[in-house]
Amino acid sequence: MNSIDVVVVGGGSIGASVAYYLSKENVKVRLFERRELASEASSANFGGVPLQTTECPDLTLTSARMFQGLASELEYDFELEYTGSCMLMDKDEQLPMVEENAKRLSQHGIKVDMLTGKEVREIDPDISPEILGASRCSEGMIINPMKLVYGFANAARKLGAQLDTYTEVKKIRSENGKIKSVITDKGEIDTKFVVLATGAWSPILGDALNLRIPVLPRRGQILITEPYKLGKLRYLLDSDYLVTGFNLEAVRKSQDPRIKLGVSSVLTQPSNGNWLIGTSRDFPGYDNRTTLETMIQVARRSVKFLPKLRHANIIRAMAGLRPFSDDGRPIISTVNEIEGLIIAIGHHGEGMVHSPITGKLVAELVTKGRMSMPINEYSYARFSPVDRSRENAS
Amino acid sequence: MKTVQLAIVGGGPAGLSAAVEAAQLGVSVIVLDENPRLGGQIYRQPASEFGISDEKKLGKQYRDGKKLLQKVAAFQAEITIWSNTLVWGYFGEKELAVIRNGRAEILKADQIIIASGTYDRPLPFPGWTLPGVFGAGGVQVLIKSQGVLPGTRFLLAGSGPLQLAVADQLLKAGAEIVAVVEATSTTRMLRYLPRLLRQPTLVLDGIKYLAKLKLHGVPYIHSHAIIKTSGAEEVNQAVIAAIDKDWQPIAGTEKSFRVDAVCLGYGLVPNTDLTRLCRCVHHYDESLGGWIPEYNERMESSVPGIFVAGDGCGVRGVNMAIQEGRLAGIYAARNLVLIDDATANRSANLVRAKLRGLQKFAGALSELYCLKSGIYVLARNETVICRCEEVDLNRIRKAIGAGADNVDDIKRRTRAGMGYCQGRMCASSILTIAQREAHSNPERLSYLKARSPVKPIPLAAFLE
Amino acid sequence: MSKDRRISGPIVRGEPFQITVDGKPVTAYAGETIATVLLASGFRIFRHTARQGEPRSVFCGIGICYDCLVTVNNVPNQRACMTFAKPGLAVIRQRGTVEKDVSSE
Repeated sequence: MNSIDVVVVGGGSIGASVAYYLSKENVKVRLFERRELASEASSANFGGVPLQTTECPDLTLTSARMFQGLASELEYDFELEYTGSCMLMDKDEQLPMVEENAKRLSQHGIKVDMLTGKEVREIDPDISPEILGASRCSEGMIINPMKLVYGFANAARKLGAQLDTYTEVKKIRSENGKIKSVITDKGEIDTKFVVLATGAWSPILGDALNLRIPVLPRRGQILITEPYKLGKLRYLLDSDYLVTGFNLEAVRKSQDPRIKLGVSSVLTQPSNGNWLIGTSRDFPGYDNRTTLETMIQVARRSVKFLPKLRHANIIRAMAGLRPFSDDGRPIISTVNEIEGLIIAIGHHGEGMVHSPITGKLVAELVTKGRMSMPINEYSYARFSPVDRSRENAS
Repeated sequence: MKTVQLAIVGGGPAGLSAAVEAAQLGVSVIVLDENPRLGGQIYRQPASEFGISDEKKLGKQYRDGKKLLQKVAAFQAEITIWSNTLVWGYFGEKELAVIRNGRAEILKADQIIIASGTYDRPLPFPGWTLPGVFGAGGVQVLIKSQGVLPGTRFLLAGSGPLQLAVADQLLKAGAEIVAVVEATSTTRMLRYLPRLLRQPTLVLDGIKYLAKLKLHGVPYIHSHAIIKTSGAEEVNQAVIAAIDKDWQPIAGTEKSFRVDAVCLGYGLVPNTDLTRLCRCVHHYDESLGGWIPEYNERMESSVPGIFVAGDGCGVRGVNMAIQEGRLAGIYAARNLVLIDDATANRSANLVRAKLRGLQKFAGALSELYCLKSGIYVLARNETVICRCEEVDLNRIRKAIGAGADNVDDIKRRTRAGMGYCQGRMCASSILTIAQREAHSNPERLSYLKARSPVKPIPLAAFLE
Repeated sequence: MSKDRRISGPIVRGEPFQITVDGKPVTAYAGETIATVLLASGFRIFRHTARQGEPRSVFCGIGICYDCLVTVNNVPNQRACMTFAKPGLAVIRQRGTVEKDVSSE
């Protein structure tokens, strides 16, 4: 039985970032990932840093700004491109929603410009003539999400962290309300601190601690085309995203099969030229297969924005399971019931953009006992009822 | 959504034999194939627009294929053919996603037989991407069913009897062959000969081919392999070398040939994209082509109602493919309750007796010509491994060095496998190279995750 | 080496027609794939790759490897070995992956 400062469970963007920022503070970190690094949601997303569609503008803006200089700090190129992002409107009814969103964002320091349809097409003639207008955020960016994870992991290792893949944490043990150890499929490791960064799979580990961890897997699907010549606007968003992403009630009530599947367009084109066409939101349990109905809706919606895609070939598709918390916001906090447990999950669609700030805040929690950002709205305690019980050492 | 009792994916010998057997038992069948005509690879028929001056000249396989196609045609009521149909997805509940006439459709079947065959194993070595370097299967298709010679002066390199058949076809078509290079040693061949003599006609065919080569003055060189090809914009030189027991080249034994075409026959890789997508259990067997689906004595995979047959579940040749197809057809009919267990087993036992007779030969052949992974040392750091994304061995090695020991992980780090061919030309190389260099094993390395679409499809197929 | 490499017999071809390759007229027959026409007419190189500009041609010949991609009647990235020649077809050999010219719509 080995003794270690902090065990991080989960090798996605959050876990790898936490491992890095903790190691920066000379904390001895051991990370366990049951498959490979970035093998789940972290490799099934657009790599988009969407400032425009955030539910947590303060967190998002702070974190997005951390990307500047991150590549040289990590000494790892994760293919960051400041493409800007452009939210397109195809219906008049979307305008009030989009304008309100723009206002809300600028109150938090995220600058968004409104463009007419004509102005959008002057920038990029490939945009559909049916587009009425857009809101554009020049700070938006795209990255290679897997490489971000590898970047954090590499840098963490260089600072002394031990990252074990193909090692599954089966159970987290607490005793008298304090973290005692983690039980992996390769043995038990004593520790005083555990950071849970297991995304949609967190409830499973929470159960063993008698904790209700309120996240559900929310699937997103992406179609990938063959490479194209690079377009002028390479990060396009559907204004309906503001509905399908966050308005569960509207989704539930809708008669439109597309809205019911949570399909609204996100189109990104990283520098290798493939268009990533998405996305969707449904709750299929832990099923991460692609589905025909969603693929159809995703394809049909996409040509409303970029008609040229109707000639594209889809060369592969992917699906990932985002962790969706009860209120759609991340959970970055300690847990009153168990000393030494930190939860860093629920980033739902912003896992990549939130990874730097989450890593930093968790490192602050561990080393200083408090965070530099006032983020009570991301605390675990905001959920009730919460099961409380004391775990007896087994 | 169309429904059918039995959907058979693949119109080659296994699929068509299954169709005939099932149709005889009253099953209504749809056979799906991407090509315009049935026959798969070995029974590939010339395009229907061509005339045939002398059928005898097309060879035994054409005739056998034609006979099987005639049997299929005799069951017009029971067997429907969906040619030019791409099976691209599986979404559970025995629902196959297809593209037909440019539109995406679902075919729901009660029972499915997957008989999707194989393709030439891609073997990376310096110069392998040059125009003029072909897979043996490709050369066969061009000669037999398109009537075109893709070159004038050939080197054939590989392992196994397929090369001899291709050499024969090339000579008949008027091509010049500088050498046929065979990886296994004469000693090994002689050791296996007693077992191979269980199929004396096939051995005799082999001897006939060898005699023909001798007659044409074509050297047949054992224990050698191709090690590189070169040329400015197309191949004009091929170099071979002697190889050891592990198929690694022996320095100082190089021999160079002036050529304008190279034909590679280093084995076949089973198409398992669909069986993996259906979540059938697979295991790894190098001698049978790599990852193959598991099946029971009824040819049923680990997923009830999904059968497999033919080279697609292990490379053992056309004769076994036919019998396995028949077995699958019988038990698909049994699952459909069109016949009872006793009837099924009675017919099946006759087929099984045939299979047993073929098994020993097929097993000996696979063992004899089993690829030895030492041949993968041919690839240099600058050698392209992923042809689509132009990822060289250096990048793959970096990923392995960074700790990747899973094919998917290597793909994420290097982009290998992210191109049009969806990893068909590189995954087996990555697996074998990582096995050697990361000291990993196939179970850990696994394969590229199978996802719909298993072949590129037009986005337009989803539009109204 | 532009010698016609078609094999005479046992395949019997019908009446020849014309397609164009990079604008040049080339003979083709019904039943032939574009790959066949190109190989028969001495066009060995089908395309150059997007990143390294390396020459590629037919490799697997059965529609698996996607190396034999050509532009056919303005539609890029078609497998030459799986596309059949028809009278008047225009084949362009491409560099990389060429985007379809949407201005014609």
